Amino acid sequence: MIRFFASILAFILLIVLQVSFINSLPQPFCMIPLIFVCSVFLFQYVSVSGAIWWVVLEGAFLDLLGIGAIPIETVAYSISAICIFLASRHLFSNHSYYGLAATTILGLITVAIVEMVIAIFFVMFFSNVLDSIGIFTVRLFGAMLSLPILLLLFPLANPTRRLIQLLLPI
Amino acid sequence: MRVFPMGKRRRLLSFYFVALIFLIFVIFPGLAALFISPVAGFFTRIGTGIYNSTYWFNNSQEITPSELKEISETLEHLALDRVEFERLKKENNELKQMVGFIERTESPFVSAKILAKSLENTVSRFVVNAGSVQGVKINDPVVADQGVLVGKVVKVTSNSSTVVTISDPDHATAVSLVNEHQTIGIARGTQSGLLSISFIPLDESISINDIVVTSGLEASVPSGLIVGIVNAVEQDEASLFKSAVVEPLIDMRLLSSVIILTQEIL
Repeated sequence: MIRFFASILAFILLIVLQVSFINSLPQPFCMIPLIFVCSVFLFQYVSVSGAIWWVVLEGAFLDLLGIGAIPIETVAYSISAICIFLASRHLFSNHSYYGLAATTILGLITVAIVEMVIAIFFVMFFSNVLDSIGIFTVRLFGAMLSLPILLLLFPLANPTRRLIQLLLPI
Repeated sequence: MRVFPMGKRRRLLSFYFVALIFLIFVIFPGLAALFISPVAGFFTRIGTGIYNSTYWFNNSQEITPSELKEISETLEHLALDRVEFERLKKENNELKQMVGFIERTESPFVSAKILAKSLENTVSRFVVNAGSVQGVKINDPVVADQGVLVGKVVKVTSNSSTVVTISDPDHATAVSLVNEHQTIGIARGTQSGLLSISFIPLDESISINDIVVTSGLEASVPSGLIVGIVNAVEQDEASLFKSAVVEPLIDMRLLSSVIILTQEIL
């Protein structure tokens, strides 16, 4: 239970950093997918299983705040979380940088594709404007920017594990 | 190596917890903004401050060599040890401008800090820390500085509101041009961050640099709020109408606080 609330607290800190700080930065840094990167790093490499939920919660938060690129981001982010889960368990190695990078990029591509499908649906039935270039630009830059961040995080796996065990002993 | 091995039962428990939290947030939509509000304003100001400090660098390719020389000469005269003083001076001026605009219009208003911005190339939506408790309603106009229209409120919770900017492709504003004919039209946002006024009759004379203001034809938006300036006039030979491209006067990314004009007296 303590670990669960610690995870929620960490997510709130990350979502604040994402929507308040990172999204206010100049381009292209405003497109850094902080929660995606942290979630994949912790889930796939540090084996913190609950971190995958951060991706789902990010979509939910964007919907609740009304600042998503499409009206139902929860669906896009949930499908992406499923893809990340399957890819990290059955497709990519959980011991290499390339495996982490591939999972993150796959997750971001999945979000972009699902967002496009949902956006097309809204264009057809609710006369919204389709910003396909915007959606793919954000995810493309996000994928590129996630690579150096993962590179920075990669050597921090063991210290992170020790920190988690120290703060939240089993 | 698995530090936290998790069985099916725990995974199911996590799912229920996340679902429960999500349900609580859906029932009380204001909670999401309430959770982030203690520190979000601070982080937005830092992020916007970084954007402000790199604004000149990002836009240097749009400046002519003579302008660049002039700016460089001006910058040489600035003393580095007065950075903090300049920041405070700017903040003071912004507040004075806001107060000046309010005094001029005599509109009821709520000043609000930006808590979160959308993840897009050009910010098209943001969340502010004022909601229904402060008197904010849907469609209330949001302005900055000397009455420059920023956008409209599209979603309101008890202590927060979501604002869609005028440059959002799904947003439209009733406008008029400050020209001989007082041309009226609908300015729509585009994906490039500019606005477009379509279906302008050919006999209307529009020229570049004409000022575009709100027409007052929308129930909630007063007339005379500055929207932008005409950047280009496009005319298709086969069409009976022409269109104008309007550039907003402010960069939405530069904002960290705004004024919401409440509807009671409008």
